[in-house]
Amino acid sequence: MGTLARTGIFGGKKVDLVNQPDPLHNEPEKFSAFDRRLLTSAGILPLAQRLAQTQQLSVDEVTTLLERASLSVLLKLLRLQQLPEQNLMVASTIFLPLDTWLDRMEPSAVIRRAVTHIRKQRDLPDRVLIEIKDFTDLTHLWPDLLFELRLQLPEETQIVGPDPQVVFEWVQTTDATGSHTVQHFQFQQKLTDLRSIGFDALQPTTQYALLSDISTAGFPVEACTRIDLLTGNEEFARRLVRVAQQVDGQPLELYSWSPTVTSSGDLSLPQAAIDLLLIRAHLIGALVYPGVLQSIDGNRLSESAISFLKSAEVGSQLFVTTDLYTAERIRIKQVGSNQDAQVITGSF
Amino acid sequence: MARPGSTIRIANSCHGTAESFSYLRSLPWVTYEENSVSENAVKLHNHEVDVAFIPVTEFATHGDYVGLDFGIACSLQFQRLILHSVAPLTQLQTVYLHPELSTGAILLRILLLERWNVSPRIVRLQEPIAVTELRSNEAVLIFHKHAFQTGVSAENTTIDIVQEWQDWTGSPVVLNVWATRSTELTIRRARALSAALYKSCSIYEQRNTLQMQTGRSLQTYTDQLPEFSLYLSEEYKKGLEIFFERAARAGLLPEARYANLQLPLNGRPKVFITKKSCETLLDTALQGKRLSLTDAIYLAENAPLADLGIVADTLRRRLFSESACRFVLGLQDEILSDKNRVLDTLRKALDKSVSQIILYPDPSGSMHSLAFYEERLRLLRSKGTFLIEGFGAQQILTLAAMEGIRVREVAERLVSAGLDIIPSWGGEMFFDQNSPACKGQISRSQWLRVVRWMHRFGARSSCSLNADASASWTYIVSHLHVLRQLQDLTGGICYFCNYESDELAETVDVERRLRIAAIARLFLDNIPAIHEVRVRASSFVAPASLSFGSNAAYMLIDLDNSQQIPDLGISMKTLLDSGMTFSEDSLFQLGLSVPHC
Repeated sequence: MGTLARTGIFGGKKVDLVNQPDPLHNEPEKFSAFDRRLLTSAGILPLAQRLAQTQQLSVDEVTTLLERASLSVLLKLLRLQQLPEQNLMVASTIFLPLDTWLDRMEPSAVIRRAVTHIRKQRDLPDRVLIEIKDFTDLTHLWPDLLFELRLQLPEETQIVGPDPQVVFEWVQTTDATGSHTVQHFQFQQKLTDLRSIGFDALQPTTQYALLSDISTAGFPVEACTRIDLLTGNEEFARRLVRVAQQVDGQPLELYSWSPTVTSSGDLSLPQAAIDLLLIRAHLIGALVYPGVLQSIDGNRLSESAISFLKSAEVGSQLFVTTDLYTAERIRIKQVGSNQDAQVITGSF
Repeated sequence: MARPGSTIRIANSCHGTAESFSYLRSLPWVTYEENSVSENAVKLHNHEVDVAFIPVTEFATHGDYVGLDFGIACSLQFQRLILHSVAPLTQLQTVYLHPELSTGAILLRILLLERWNVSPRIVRLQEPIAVTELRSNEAVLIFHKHAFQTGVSAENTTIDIVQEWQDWTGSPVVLNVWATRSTELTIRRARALSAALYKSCSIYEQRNTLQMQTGRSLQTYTDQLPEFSLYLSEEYKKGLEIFFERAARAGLLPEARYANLQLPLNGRPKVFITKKSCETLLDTALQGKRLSLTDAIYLAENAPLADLGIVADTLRRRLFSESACRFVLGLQDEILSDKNRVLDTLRKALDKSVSQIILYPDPSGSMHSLAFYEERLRLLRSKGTFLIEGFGAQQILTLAAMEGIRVREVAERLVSAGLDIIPSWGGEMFFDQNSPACKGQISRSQWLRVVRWMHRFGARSSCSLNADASASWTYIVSHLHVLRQLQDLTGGICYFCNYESDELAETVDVERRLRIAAIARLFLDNIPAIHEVRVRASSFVAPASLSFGSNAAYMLIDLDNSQQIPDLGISMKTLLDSGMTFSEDSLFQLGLSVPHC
């Protein structure tokens, strides 16, 4: 039996092979000395180490991030996560109030109007939001309507149903039993119906208690957090971690998450404040939910804020519900394409 | 500018000491010009020439030049760089310098700080001052061939600072070098140039020898200085390293090494410059060391925004533990014309906690008299302790022309009447000639001249950068370099304004805006305050810059908009909630009186 070499040549230099750290027993150092100094000076080295080991952050740690981490520190943490870089993509969305139209016209006329509306757009939409107000008999008119609509749309276009919270509130309003169990069963049934009649997804919901049922029904789980209505950083952290913990436990798999602010909050926020709030929420969300799509509310954020998020390279594909003119200005790509979003003038 | 294919653009100095190199003018493959050494440095930096005779300080500051091993060095008595002081050095409070002095100024500053342990105010003069005009605690550094014949009395202290440096460090002094970029010359041209420079040396030496043998009177300036060396031997290069090392230690120059162009038998000229990584450069900045122009450009172009931001924020926190928000009142000529309107506006503004007033005299030809502005300044000064800023360099030049008096007199009168700060107007971008900020403005030298006078009379000034989206980082950092040099000399700049110009506000390149704030914090190591100005409630960029090196946000107050301050307060609260600390008075002014724990 021969002897093992004690030295070797690496990078043109003689190196000692005996005193090298054992890769099986020592955790390889993920940060350079410079990174360690930066993170130490920012007071977040232990937290960064936990993130680098892809460990789920605790409520206290997320609260610390919310309360203490500057924008540059959050950007640094995201870079250190080394998630695969993906491009920001624009998901152009249109809204079709089909239920309102059905009150006034025949289903065939509703389809014609919907098709006309879609073709009026500059480009075919990536997501079509459908309004439903009455969930009594989903299997009557809706399957044919959605089938006809599907024929008019590209395969990759998603047909998106209502916010699950709207469905749940409708069940609560119409159920005469008052039994939570019954209501829960009916809610699950309605979600299953929505899936079977042709909806690809539901609108993101702020009700985290419903996420599990959404997943069970076969829809992608899309959560939304209205951060202006939260009482503080700790509550925000608790909500984020709660969903993240559900994500870790099977079978719930979070598909997208989006923070938003609403104009119905107590304060009428200036644009700079909305941008700062949402940018920080997105950066922290990307840390807490690595690999989960961050859905950016293009109607609430300014162009410069979207541009900042794009340059932040948060490591996850970002969807923007915004108009194509904005997308073109900030040079983001369109879903399903390698090309930058382009404004197409003229009619179809 | 069209450039002949095979010629080298060479810039020599028009000063007598470089006369020996004028031989280069006769070479057919050379486009030759002569300027001051500092102009040469600017031209070399802007790629307007290929090879230039520049001060060694500029060589170090740029950080990416190579030397050709020729220049002006001295190992014996120089006798042309003399400090004249009326009193002993320990009592010195002011030292006057010639504006063109570069290496000499750094030599003097190191000697003052480290050799003599004094730190007087350094004032660069536009016009020569006679030794007889000096006050008891003043000195002047004179640089010319009659430095020892300027009315010096026996009681005066006279020090040859080159001799003093050599006595102290034991090493010779190199003042100027021939420099180029490592990629600028082909091997053939580099060899030919090197040979031509050698020939310059031999002509110089032969002439000296001839003069000594024949005893004929010396005719030219360099002939009188046989102790000069035009070739930089190893001894001189070692001396240069010592100078660079001490200047960097004193924070006056970036860390630098002299690298020369190696000429192999074949292939391209070689150069041995170690390129530093972004991490090394950011570490340099964190250690409080000075960045060179090349370092700053490299960082601006390559460093991750996150790293730049954290380092800039760390440097900011060392100087300012809290951020600040300030409200500024602008007074146009239209309001200034009516005394009652001035008082009424001022009263309303003071109710809104305005801490600074900016006067906007109209420089387009309808300015009031200097006496009028003096009266208005006194009126404002009598109403409160706020800062009064106003009268850009252009306005001061206009006033001087209107009144038929010198700029220094305008400066003196405005400062005496109560002017605290002059704004940076006209000095927002010195280099990018395509920039709107450059067009129709006064020249860089005019701006610097006016600002130096204002500093001399006790006024302070702000400086700024207004770079449009197309301005290169080379232009941006070069602009910052001029400001850093000015501050080194006068110390009169109180803050740097980071503009969000209308043009820039419309672009969506937020990252660039934040990079500018961070680079300004890293590069302007001698200007503590970096302010965001023109803050608006509609844009998050200025508040965000407070995490990227800026320490204060300034908002021009609109007295008719009651929502302006509350809106800014809400935006700042989002920063407050994320851990940023604000000064207590800022919190009070913004209506955020409960400090964040």
